[in-house]
Amino acid sequence: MSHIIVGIAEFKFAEPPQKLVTYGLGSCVAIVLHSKDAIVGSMAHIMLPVAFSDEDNKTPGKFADTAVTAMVQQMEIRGIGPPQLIAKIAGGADMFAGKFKGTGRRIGARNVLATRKILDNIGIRLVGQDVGGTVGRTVEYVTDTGLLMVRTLRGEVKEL
Amino acid sequence: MEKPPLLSREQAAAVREIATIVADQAGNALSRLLKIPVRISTFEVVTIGYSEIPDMFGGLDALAIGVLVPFQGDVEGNALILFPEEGIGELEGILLGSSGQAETDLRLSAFAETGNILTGTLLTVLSSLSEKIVVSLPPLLVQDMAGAILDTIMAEVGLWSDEVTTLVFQLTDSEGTGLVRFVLIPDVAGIELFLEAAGRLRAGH
Repeated sequence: MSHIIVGIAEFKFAEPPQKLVTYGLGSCVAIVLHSKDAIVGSMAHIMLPVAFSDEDNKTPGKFADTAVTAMVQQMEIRGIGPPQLIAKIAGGADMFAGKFKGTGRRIGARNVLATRKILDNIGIRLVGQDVGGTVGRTVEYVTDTGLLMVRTLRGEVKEL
Repeated sequence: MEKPPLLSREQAAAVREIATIVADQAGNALSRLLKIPVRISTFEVVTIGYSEIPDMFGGLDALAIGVLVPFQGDVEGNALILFPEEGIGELEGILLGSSGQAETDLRLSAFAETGNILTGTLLTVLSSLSEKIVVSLPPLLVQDMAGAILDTIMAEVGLWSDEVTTLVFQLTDSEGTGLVRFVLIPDVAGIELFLEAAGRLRAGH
């Protein structure tokens, strides 16, 4: 069964028997859109909450708002609209447990908030999430079933 | 089309010039801490895109230890030092005299101290050259996936660029045998401080 790796600031589409995998999420968030009817899906690995300029739209996978918009467009080309999609998200950790004071402080929480907001605005149901905390995550999405597996370095595994 | 490079070729050369001075001084400071002669050398300054980051650290989900050193004063920012998995055991052996035997807290504090020396030296050099007051704050330490640790700095730099500037150092013994590779990643404020210091160095201040 083939694995497609979704890199930082990327988003990719897949269909069975493919799996989408993204590694080492800290404050970044993995967003999965899955269609139960068409049995296809896509995953993004976003870094930041919202795009600031037109230039940012050239790398849509980097921001929660532009990534979800682009993923939805990708689905609409295949005749799948937002009501037919469900979403699952993972990541958004605070790796330095609130002690980091730079511009990027609480960026994980802001990424999660922005993701929920854009999903809500577009009308996609968020049905599973493993977000926050202070640990890194690797996630794997199985297109056949819509299952999202979340793993940590400590060996913890969650199924969403 | 992606955003323009964070550093031009000339600017990268300027950062390398400063890194040479820092490597020399930090090597001496680390030798005093370890009570054995070591050097920091064979460094390079590499500006890489997101897709190249996994290879640099043996994968985004590979174990790494990160030491984040915030600094404040005339300039506020952060520098992250990442010790990839491949060198953690070796550095533990150098720092603690054994490999993998020490308690986790002791291991982590040894890495924090090493990171503190490196960034302390870096900030002293940058402060002196740029004539700005810059003081480091206590280091923040984390042990987790390399990609997860990098996210904090990448989120800062990501507002400005689709690339990350990395300074790759190597700790060697007195005969130049490579022991441990580690990577320093300044945020945008750190890069600006580097460039200001380099500019003044080249102007002969």
